[in-house]
Amino acid sequence: MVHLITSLIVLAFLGIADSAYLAWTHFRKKPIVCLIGDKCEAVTESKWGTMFGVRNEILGIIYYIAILVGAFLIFYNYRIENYLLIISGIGFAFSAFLTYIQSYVIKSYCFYCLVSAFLSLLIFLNVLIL
Amino acid sequence: MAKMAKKRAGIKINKDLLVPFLLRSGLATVFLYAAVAAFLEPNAWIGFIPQFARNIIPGNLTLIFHSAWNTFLAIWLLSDKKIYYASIFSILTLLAIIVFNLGSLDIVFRDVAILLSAVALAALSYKTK
Repeated sequence: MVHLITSLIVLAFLGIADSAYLAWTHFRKKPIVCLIGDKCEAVTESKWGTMFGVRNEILGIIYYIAILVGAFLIFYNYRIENYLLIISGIGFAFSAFLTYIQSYVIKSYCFYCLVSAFLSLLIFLNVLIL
Repeated sequence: MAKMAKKRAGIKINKDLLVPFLLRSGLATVFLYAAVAAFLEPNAWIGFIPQFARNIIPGNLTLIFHSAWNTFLAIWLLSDKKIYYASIFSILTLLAIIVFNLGSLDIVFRDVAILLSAVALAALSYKTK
């Protein structure tokens, strides 16, 4: 159990770092280092970069902080596994949707968005077996 | 199949940036896991602190320092700033873990692979004048 909580905290921390980097590049108007593909900004600065009037990076940071807090609460014996499962499920579904958008609508990939999607998948699987 | 191959050929992979990124991320994940695990479950980690260190500083305090240092290294590696120095400190940290736990080589033998990842990162980030 503690191992799963530990990995959840690590994944959440990596997610915060990933989203924070994307937020930093957007708000400081810095170019994104594209490790795969060469049109990362085509994704992040598209109309899909914002959902419900909020930048996806900010939604990502809020999501990963919620996972981090949730993991610590479970460690301190709060029974919130079901809530965490719902939150991680929504996060994973949202990431999968954005990956679909990258692949079939924008037809460009943003590497750090794909990293975030992968982390969301791992978080969801982690919470499933918690 | 041919369509897939064509599509794959179209994705540009920047290997010069991707390889150091993967090494940095891998090392940062390992350091972060060690930091969090030692914080959440100190009793499982106290045995890895050498006795001489526990004689100087109480074991729990050493573990807090261990967690803080590992978190710092993880953030440094993720930040992508002065990576050569970050990888040197990673090498020293991993060397210390391996040398002081040679008695538990069955557990720490995998750290050799992580140590060599840090060496690879140092080699990649070393700049000649």
